Amino acid sequence: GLKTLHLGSCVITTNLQGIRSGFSEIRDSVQAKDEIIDVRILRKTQSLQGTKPADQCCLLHHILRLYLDRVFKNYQPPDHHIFRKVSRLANSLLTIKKDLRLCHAHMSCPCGEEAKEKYSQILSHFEELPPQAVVVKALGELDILLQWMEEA
Amino acid sequence: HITEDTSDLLQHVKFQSSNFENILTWDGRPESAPDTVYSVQYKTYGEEEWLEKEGCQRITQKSCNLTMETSNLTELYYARVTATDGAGRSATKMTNRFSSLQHTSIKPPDVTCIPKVRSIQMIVHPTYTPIRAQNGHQLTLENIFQDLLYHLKLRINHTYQMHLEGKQREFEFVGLTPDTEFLGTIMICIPNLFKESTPYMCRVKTLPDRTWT
Repeated sequence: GLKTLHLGSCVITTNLQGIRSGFSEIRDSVQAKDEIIDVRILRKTQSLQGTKPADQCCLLHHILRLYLDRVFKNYQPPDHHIFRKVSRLANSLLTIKKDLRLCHAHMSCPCGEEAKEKYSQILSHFEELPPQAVVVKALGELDILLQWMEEA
Repeated sequence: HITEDTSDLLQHVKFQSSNFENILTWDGRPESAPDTVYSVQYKTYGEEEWLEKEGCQRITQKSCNLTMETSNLTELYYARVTATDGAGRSATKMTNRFSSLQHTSIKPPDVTCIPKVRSIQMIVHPTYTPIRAQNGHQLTLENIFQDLLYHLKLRINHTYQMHLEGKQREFEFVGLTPDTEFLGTIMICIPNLFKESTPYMCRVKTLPDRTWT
């Protein structure tokens, strides 16, 4: 069913279960392609649930923009099945991002220092890695992002 | 320089997890020599170091309990096995990325079914896991999965079943015929992660009605 995400004063509903189901079908094969297992992009110290509520919307909004602009756009799926699944995931995250932009428009998605600091840390982890490797790793870490949203 | 293919020494290295009991298992060669030994290492995803699992170094059995080493629910893990045969040939294989939250299967609940004259009461007992909270308390499945609920069915006859569902632990099927046998099945459901336990089943007979009519 639908889950309501309370991100400070921004409240959205999303089909987290459906997104999780879609990802679980490709998780093992996507993660198996990530050979750099000593590095993690989405780390506990920058988790959404560990962020103060007022900054959660902004942090998630920036993470989703990173995924949509620099992960899904550059991901080269090995086969058509994965391509279809990844496209559906991208569309689902795009829907969430649009909802967050509405919150932004209604001044309920402020970007405080904590959100900026955590996002810049995530970005630096992201940019430390080679382009194609980081895309595969970030996609493989979608279960971490979904868990963050689940627990937010 | 010809490298020898040793992949036959070791296959299917994977975690088997139920109720957060995380066991690493693998297969060796079907006719693997008894002198083949196995050593296990594990690591947290995102960290550099592989750690040796004490008690699973140069063992001959094909499983190793990594429950305590993989008990942090917010972490993801890898494990790997190195097999070495008597001729000194060796092979190493790694698991997929493992998350006990996502991968653990759920065992049937423990239930007490109590027959009465015109009803059957079902009391579901908490399921404790090896996972401990920071204060040391053992966590139950209910503590870990916020959306956990119980799904109960009572077969009345070939065509009719009663259903109950909820997060509470005490349920009662009412309006039953005295002195009649019923089959109850109780499952744990965790919708968010698409988990469902195999059912606990109890066959119960309602008590005879001794009231004078």
